[in-house]
Amino acid sequence: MNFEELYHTHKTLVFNLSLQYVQNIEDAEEITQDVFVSIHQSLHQFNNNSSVKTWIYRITINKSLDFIKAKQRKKRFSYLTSLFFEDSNDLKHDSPTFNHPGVQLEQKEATETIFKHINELVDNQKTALILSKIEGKTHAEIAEIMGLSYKAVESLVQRAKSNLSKKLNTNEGNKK
Amino acid sequence: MKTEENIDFLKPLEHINKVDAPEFLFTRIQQRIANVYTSKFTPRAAWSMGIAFVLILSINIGIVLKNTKQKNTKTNIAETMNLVPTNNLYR
Repeated sequence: MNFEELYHTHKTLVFNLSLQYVQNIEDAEEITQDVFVSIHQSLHQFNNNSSVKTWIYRITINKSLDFIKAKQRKKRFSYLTSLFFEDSNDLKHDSPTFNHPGVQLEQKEATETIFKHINELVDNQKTALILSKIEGKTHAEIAEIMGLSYKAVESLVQRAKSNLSKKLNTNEGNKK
Repeated sequence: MKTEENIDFLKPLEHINKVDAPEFLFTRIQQRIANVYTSKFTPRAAWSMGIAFVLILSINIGIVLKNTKQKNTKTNIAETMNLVPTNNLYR
């Protein structure tokens, strides 16, 4: 399979998966580009230990998590520079965080709240939950993608749900 | 009941639709790939040169320090034995 075929076959997967991590179009576009550039550079190294789809899932997950960390570092740095330099425009031009085109309007508020708490989960739990509840993957498929055992994935998904439930209940308690 | 409540609060996630990736993305990806291959001075090359430079510098400093120490050792021996450390016959 050549690179262009690979792109057209998997672009929807990559774009949508990165959307689940960042919940806005601009960032998802950026990550999608990063993923495919990385795929192009390492295509010759792919050793068929796993399926192409699993490999692409892994690259997308890693690039998405790296992107989020880089964005958080940039935010912290922007905040610090804004304290010292009044003219700094970095914070003022921060793009909207929730702009997920796959979310229906009537579900927007509820979904935004859930994603806000998903974003606070640790990386492993976040990934397991996204793959399980949004991508609809089985635990066995998630185990292959994440390179973990079935039991480990089960535990991650359970803990993610439990943590989310606590955060959502706390959120509702605060609203009341 | 608790399991049902747990499942219910994640129900909005099941209604997220798949969306198509923008058409222009492939063009941008091709441009980035082209830039990667035309860039002669990659970060990797810079790091490699930097590390090589530090290594060479460290080796040089090590050799110079070792030579200085040897010279000092010879001078110390000469002084202990009341020998003249130079070739001058006349003081």
